Amino acid sequence: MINLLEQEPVHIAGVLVKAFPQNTQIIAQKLNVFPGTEVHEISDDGSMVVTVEATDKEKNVVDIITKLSVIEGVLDASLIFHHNDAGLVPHAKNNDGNVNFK
Amino acid sequence: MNQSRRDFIKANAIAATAVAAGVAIPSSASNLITDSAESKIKWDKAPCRFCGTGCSVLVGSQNGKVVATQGDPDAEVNKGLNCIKGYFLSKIMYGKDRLTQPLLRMKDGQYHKEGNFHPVSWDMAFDVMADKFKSALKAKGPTSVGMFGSGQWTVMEGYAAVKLMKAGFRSNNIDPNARHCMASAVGGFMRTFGIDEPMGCYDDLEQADTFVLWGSNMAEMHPILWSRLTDRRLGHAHVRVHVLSTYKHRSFALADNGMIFTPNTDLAIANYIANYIIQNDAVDWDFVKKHTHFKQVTTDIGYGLRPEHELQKAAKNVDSGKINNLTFEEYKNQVAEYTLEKTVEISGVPANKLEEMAKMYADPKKKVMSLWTMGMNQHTRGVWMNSLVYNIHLLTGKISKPGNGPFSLTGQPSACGTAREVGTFSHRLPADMVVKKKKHRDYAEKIWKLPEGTIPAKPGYHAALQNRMLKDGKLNAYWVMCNNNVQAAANLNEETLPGYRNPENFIVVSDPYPTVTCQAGDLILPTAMWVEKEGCYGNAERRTQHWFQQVRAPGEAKSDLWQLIEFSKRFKIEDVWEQELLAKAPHLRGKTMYDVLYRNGNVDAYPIEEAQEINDDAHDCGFYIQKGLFEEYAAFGRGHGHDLAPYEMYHTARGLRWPVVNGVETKWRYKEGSDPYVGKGKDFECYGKPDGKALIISAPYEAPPEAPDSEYDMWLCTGRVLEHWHSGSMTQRVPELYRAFPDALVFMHPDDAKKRNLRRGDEVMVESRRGEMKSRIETRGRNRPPVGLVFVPWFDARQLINKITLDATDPLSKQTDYKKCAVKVRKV
Repeated sequence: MINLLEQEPVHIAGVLVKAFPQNTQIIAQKLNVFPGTEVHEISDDGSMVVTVEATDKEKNVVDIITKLSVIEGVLDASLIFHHNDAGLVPHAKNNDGNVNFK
Repeated sequence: MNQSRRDFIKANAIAATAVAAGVAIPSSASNLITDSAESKIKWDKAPCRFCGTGCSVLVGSQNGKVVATQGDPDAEVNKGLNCIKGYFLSKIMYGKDRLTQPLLRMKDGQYHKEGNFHPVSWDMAFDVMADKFKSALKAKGPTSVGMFGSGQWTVMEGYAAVKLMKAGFRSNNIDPNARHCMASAVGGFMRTFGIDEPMGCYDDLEQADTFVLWGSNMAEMHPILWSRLTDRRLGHAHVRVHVLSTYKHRSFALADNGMIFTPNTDLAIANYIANYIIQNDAVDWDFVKKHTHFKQVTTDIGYGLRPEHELQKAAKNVDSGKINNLTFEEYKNQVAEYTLEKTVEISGVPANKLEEMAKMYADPKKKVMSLWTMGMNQHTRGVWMNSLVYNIHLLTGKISKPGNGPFSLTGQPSACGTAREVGTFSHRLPADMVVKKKKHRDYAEKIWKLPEGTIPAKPGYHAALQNRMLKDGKLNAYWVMCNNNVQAAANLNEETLPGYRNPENFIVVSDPYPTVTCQAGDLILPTAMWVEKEGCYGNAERRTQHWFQQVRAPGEAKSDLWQLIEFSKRFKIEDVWEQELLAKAPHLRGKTMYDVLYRNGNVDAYPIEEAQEINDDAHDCGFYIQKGLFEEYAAFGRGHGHDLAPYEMYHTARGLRWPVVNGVETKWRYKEGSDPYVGKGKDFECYGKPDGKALIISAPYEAPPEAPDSEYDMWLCTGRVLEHWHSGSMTQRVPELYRAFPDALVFMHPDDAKKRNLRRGDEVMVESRRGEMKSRIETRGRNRPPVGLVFVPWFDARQLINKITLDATDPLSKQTDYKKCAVKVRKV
């Protein structure tokens, strides 16, 4: 989710990275070397749960995502979550759990 | 930063990503919902503003501004995912240079072609504009006025524009920028099946065993569909991915069989596959006999250039779309020419790779999905090429079955919905009808309650021809709406710019931002965009998606629909129709175009009470105009294979795939059990053709209009990058996307760079016979061209690659070939 209300945006992104399952360990090692990038989960079918955090040098997480997506063997890198910090309720639901539109 | 805040955000990032990945959520991050001071955010849905995939996005607004967006988890198309452009969608409306008032070129308080832009009122803007349109009509008649529209118009806007031009001004000179992207696909569909748009749908992505990308780089251009395709490949060991392209790109990372072919030789490759299928006795005879006819094209048809061009003069059958009957034996002999050896020689693809792909198509047990976009459409033989791929699927009966089918991907959010289904092309009317056929004109005139003979029978100027006619002074009052054609059209120096700046012409440009097209125009109209208005789009899988207006446009910016409606009020019907036609409908005398076209009892049938509280267009009209336009338009297709649901159904559904009959959408057309139009017991019926049979249309390899020679020694291919959409007028204004890919680059093979004494990052001049452009060299990066080819993206307004490209078109579809021309590259 992108939130324009944020005064002091926190540049942390959740990125879903995909690779052939036989390559995920090697790619995870490469990703972990990237400043601000951390691999949290690796599934059997080649999905990797990765967080990307802006550093002093790389202020733009999109730049980091662009760089990691061209690593040899990375098939796809989808930005799933980006500095959602203002307590926005996901999935278009109000705090009472009801969907806000018809 | 506060450590706990940071950890909390990170935990949320992990949780959301884990959900999307389908992996178990780490327990530390399971609670996403927090107590919130932001609960006043109003959430609603809208389809994404960019490509033809049609992802659904949840949009949060507060205090009149969009403040948040996220992928819609309830949407079948994208299942909660966004690509990086879609992710930053909420920022496209808030660029610093957003246009908020009309601007007119003026000198001494008056309009002047050579003046500078000054702010004016809407009244003055429309006064000057109406005056120019009236003068043109009076001097040269309806063919001197025209409009260039878009596959980004909402369905209602495109429909209102068609009525205004074809029935109001009685000019067929209206064409969408979809001419640049989908016209060859339309031509292929109409010739092979007699009805436009894919028979299958995105559900095929989860069921196919083999994917073949014909020139498409889905990884960057259709990332959400690519992610679905990737999941299928990674989750099922038997699935194979074949990628055909003229250069190596990101999609090759997933490819089991990546193939680089010489530009234009896809024609030979498709014929080779058909030949392989026949030689190896893999024809599905039951299907072919019951459901197909064999035909052949007329060859040597030129390249859609100006008639005085030597290539046009040399062609025997210029622009001929005639197809002739063929027996199977004759067809077999024609494709027999394309042996493996010959195809290897023409295409440069190794034999084992071609054979591996052909085997997949020929294997009756393999479900194959073929996918393509601009590589096949922006092609001087694009219509032929589309049909050649259909031939393969028809020969093997691999069509209209889950996981089996040819799928033409789309570049714009409503190229299907607005440009194709509404029929905003110079030769078309809604629901696949055409102006040439009297029956079709009669039908449209009846629905529109207009006298017989209102719509002119002769097709108008198509996109490339509009620019030529502007230059030649035959098209004089011209409205460019919802597109950036000065940047998009080929051969900028020789055609577009001289046309726009021709002193005889008055050019109006409606846009939210000051694009290069605005700068080349005479009057700029500030435009409301996306959720600043109510609308609907139609995506590549026939899915019609609706959204409500959610915020107001800034300043005096107004929607395209409002602009069309208000402009129509400036004309009495006597100003635009001749007496002869008026005599057939004396009751229309004295009325305005607005009354005749939009207050006809259909468009104004629904009271304002039915509209949302925020719906500026409807409240300005005093009736629910979007619903009225939609329902009048839907009357064209209901009962004719293009059925749309009642308007209200779209308010809640995440889109529905037409034909929607009795509230049920259609996933696979022409297939019994899935498509209600197929007759009982027929199994498959191609009901776009009178006898229900599709055509297998034979076409040979022919050379492209321009190829590298000793002076211009490289191929140039243009296209997009993931971060930017089309001409970049929106995405270049999103800081995150701008920084990620700020400037266009010339992607080149390291050997080619070395030969020219170039290093990565060096400044170069790219030159063709038509113009030159300064840029920088990239020898690594995401695109890896072979020796002899450069790739340059076209999003960058400061590097106009279309000064260089050739305005050759497919003679049948009139779509420009942006994928191949000859250039040289030298160090600056």
